[in-house]
Amino acid sequence: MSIATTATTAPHDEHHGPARGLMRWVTTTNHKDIGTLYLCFALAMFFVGGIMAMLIRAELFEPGLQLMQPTFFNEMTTMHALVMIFGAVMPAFVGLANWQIPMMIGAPDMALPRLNNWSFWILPFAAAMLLSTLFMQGGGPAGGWTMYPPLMLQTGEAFPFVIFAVHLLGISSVMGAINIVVTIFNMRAPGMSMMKMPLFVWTWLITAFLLIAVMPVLAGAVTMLLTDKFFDTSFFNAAGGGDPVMFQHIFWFFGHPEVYILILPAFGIVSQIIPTFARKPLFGYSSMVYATASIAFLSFIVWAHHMFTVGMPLTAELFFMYATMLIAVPTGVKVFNWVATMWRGSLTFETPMLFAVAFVVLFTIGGFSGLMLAITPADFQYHDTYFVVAHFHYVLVTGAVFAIMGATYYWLPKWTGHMYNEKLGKWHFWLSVVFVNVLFFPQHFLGLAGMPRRIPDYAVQFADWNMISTLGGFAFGASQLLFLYIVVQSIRGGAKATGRVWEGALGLEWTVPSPAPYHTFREAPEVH
Amino acid sequence: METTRPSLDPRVRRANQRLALLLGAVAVGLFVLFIVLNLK
Repeated sequence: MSIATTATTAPHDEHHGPARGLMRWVTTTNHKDIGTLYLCFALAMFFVGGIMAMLIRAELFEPGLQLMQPTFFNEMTTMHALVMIFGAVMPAFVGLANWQIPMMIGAPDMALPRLNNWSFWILPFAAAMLLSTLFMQGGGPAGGWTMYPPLMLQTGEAFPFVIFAVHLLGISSVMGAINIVVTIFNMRAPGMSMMKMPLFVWTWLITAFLLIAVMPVLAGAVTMLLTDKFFDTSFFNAAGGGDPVMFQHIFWFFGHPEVYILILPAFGIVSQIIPTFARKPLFGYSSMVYATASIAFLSFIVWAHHMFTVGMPLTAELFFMYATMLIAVPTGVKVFNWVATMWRGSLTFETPMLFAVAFVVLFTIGGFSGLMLAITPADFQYHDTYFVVAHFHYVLVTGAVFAIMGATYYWLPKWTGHMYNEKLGKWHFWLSVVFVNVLFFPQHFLGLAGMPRRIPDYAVQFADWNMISTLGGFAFGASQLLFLYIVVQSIRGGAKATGRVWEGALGLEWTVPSPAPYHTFREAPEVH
Repeated sequence: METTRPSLDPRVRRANQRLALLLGAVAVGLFVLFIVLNLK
C-alpha cells in the first residue's frame, strides 16, 4: 500500500472552480464532475430497477395472477436485470472509479477527459432508449436479460432498439474501461509503483481489462441476433443450419466475466474500508492482487456452468464443474485476508465498516450457494429455480450493492466536505441488512422446493415463503429511500469533514482537503 | 474553469492516445473475430 506524503493541490483552487449552470455538467471533462454524473445516474437507475423489482415481488405476493399479464411480468424481470446491471451497478462502479482513481494514484485527472465525457453522456440516451421499448408495439424485451434465441427473436418492434441500446451501453463501458487502463498505466505519480497502488485501483485495472475483452463479445452476439432477425442469416437458426446453443456459449463467454466485472471493484472497495476501520494495513496485499488476477483469468474458462442442462459432453461438464470450483480458492484467499485484517485490529463500526463486514459474511453465503450450483448433477435440480435467483442476489445485492453503499458512506465526506448523519447511516444499514435477508434467504427454500424462476404464478405450496420474501422486498426497497435522504442531506450540509475524515485512513485521497478541490495534484505528489 | 486544468506533457498525451487506440483496436478486433468465427 502506498503511504501518502505531500498533498499538492493547485494553489488558489478556490478561484478556479467549475463553470456554473447546466452546461457545466454537459460539457465537463473533470473527473470529479463526471464521477458525480455517473453516481447520480446509477442512483436514479437503482430506483427505476427497484420499482420493477417491487412490481415483480407484488405479483408474487400470493399465488395466481393479481396485478399484471404474464408478458408484462416477463418484461419486468428482463428489464429489471438489464437496468440494474448496465444502468445501476456498472455505472456506480465507474462513478467511483472516476472520483477516486485519479486521487488515489496522484493524477490530475483521467487520461482522456473528453472520452470520459462521451462515455458518460452515451448512457442516459441508451437507458432512455431501453426503457422506451416498454411502450412500443408488442412491448419490451421479455425473454430474460440473457436474450436467448429463438425467444428473443419473438420481441416486437422493440427488438432493434434493445440491440442498439445494448451496443451503446457496451461502447460506453469499453470507452470507460480504456480510460481507466490508460490512466492507471500512464498517469501514476512518481513513486507509485504498481505494487503500491491501493487495492481499489488494482481491482479496477483488472476489471477494465475484463470489460475490454468481453463487451465486444456481447456486441458480436447481439449483432448476430440482429442479422438473424432482419438479414436472413442463420447464426442461431437451426432451420438454416445455425445453432441456438451457440448463442448461449457466446453469451456466457461474455456473461461470466461480466459477473466478475460486477464484483471485483466491490472487492477493491472492501479492501479499502476494512483496513481503515481495523486501523491495520491490509493483510496479504500481494496475495489480494494475485487472487484478483486469478479470478479474472478463471472467469474466462467457466462459462458453460450456466448451461449444464443444454446437453454437453460429460467431459465438458466435468471440466466446467472443476474449473468453477477452482474459483473458490482465490476467493477464499480474499475472505481469509479480510478476516485476518480485522483480527486483533482496533475495530470501530461506522456505517462503511458495517456494510463491509456484512459484505464479507453475506457475499460468502452467495459464494457458497455458487459452489452448490457448480456441482453439475446438483445443478440439474437447481437450474432455473429460485435457488439461482437467491444465489445471484446474494452476490449482487449484499455483494456489489452493499459495497457501493459502503463506498458512498466512506468517500461521501471527501466528495461533499460534510459528514453524513452517522445515526441515520446505521439505521439504513440495519434496516437493509435485516430486510435483504428476509427478501432473499427464503428464495433458497423456494428454489430447493422446486419453484421455477421467471414465472408470474406458482403452486400454493410456495405461498408462505413468497409472501415473506415480498414483505422483505418492500421493506428493503423503502429502506433505500433513507439512503437517498442521507446522501442529499450530506450534500446540503452537515458537520465539516476533515481532510483525512477517518482516523485510520491511509492513501493519497485523504491528503487533500474535504471537499476535494476541483483540480487536485496539479503537481505530482511524492509517494514513498 | 476547465482551462485551469494542468496541461499534460505532450509525450504523456501521445502515449495516452497510442495506448487508447491500441485498446480500442483490440476491442473492435474481438467484436469482428467473434462474428467471423461464426460464419460458415
